[in-house]
Amino acid sequence: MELIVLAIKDIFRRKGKSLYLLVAIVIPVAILSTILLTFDNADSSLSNLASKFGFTLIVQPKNVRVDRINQIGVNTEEYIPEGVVREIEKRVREIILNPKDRIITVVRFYKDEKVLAGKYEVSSVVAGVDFKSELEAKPSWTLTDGRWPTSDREAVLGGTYASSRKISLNDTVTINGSEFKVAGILQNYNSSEDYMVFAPFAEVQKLFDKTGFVSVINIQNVSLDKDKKLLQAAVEDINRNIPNITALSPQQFSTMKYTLLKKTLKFLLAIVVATVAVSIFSIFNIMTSVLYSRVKEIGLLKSVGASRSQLLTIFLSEYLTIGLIGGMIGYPLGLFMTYLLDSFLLKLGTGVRVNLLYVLVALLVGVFCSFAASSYPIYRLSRIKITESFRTQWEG
Amino acid sequence: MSEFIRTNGLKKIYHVGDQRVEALKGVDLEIAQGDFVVFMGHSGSGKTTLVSTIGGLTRPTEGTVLIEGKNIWKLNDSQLSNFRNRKIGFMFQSFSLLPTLNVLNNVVMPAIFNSNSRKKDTDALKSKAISLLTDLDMKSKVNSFPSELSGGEQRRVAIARALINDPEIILADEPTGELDIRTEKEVIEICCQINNVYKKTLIVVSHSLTWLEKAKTTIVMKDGFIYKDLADPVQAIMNGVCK
Repeated sequence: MELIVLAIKDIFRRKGKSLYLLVAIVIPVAILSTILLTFDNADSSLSNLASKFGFTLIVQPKNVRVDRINQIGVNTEEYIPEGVVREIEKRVREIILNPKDRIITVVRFYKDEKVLAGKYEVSSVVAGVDFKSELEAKPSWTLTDGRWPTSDREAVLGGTYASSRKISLNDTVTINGSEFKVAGILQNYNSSEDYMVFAPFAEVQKLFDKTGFVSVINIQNVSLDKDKKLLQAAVEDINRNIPNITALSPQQFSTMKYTLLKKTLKFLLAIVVATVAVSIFSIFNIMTSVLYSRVKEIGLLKSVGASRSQLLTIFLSEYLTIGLIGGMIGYPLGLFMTYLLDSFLLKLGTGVRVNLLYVLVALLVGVFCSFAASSYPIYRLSRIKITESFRTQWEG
Repeated sequence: MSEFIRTNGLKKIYHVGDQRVEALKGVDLEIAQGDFVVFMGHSGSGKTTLVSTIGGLTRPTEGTVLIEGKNIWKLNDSQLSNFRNRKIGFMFQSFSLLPTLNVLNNVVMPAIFNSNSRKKDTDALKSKAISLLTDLDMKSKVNSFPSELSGGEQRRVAIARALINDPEIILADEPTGELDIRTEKEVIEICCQINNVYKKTLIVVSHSLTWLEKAKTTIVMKDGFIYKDLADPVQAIMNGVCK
């Protein structure tokens, strides 16, 4: 029998106390894993979104701030005069190297509105879009059902929007008193578009008495796509010369959308660090109490010849093993919590993926918590006088 | 018999709160190899302190403990642990078995702290432990846990464990305390065998007069001193020196 085997046998014989310690370690590890994985998911969602945009440059009103975009990440409060579109196209044309390079401009109008969808009125984001230019810019945009609108009174619904409200093709949605027939259901892209109602651009402008105004201008151009420096030059030129607008690259736009989320997660991460610190203190208390109940055992081991270093090996092995198991349980629990958080609250839509780095972090945090909490009491107890230890009571 | 254990001017002072308790007041003692010594005396006379000082469990305040001419209290922690592991087998009145290990593992346990034994084949160690347990009529209990054993059976396991590293000295502090008369006699018989058959130096601390019939040497202690000039220590005990 080796020292480590002695330690492992102890864990299994002291199931109750080992379990108690295990729970104390699993909780901070699981919380930490949840936050790290959610943080990771937000990053993935960010890059997914950027790659799905299909646009080179996005222009939106200057007043749009992170805290003023709605929950699915679009601006529905501030607008830009439509005349700015030509000015932007002109400036982009001046900057790009190839004069024959095509510039595709797609404008959208967004409005938060109660829409009568099915039996109930639901708060929705209505997007006024020019379907022709949208499809030109994003050929991958596809419908799972139906066709693209051919009349002013037809609409397309985001996949999640339609399924969650049980709306089918040829049903009617009423926007601001006007009825639109559902001509098509858009494929889900794990983006904000999954939650929108799309209707013809000019009709939506008219419905909300905003003719001549747009929410966002999207520009697509191959030269700017290829050359990041050129893109940056275009962004800076537009921002410098056209008042009351903000030009962004899609990556910047997505980053802005997720800044708030990431700030929240960073704040949560700080809370987790504090939780881990408090947990270590709690584990320290539990560990001290558990270890002091084993004083007589320590005395007995010393009396039969265990040296201080051998005692440290036995007890540290025992508690580090519990820490390791805590990490092994804490990480999958964190995965599950991330899944719940994503499914019911954040809806980042990236799914839950195992991250090997975070597996390692979870194991290390489990072991670290255990080590930080147990090393001092173990060190103190390894120095206890044998005869003193025999005066205490056995605790199995 | 040659001198094997020697103490010179051994003193031990405990501080309990503001109180200063002199447990040993300068004990000079010699024990020969192969001797069977029983320490007797009233509670607080210093016999347990003396034996634990000899066994490397309690550091004396003053004086030396020489085993085979070597002062054990000059050894560092690792050397002292090694000394306890190889030279001495301990038997205590209670709390002597680890409740988390079965009988076999309790007996083998001292060997895992012995660098020489660890190199040996684990099977050989287990065979030796089973052989010792068989000698002590405990073979059928090798897989039992201490909580499943009677007091007498627990003492036998403690005896087997004390012998596993083949030490030269067996120290037993009240090994028959809390046992009924029949079991006490059994344990004493086993201890006699350890002394006679295994040729171990046996040092026992006890209040029980039953030991006096078997011991080769009886040492009576009172108030931290040894009664050296007692013509008949047994008679002195019977007359109430240790009561």
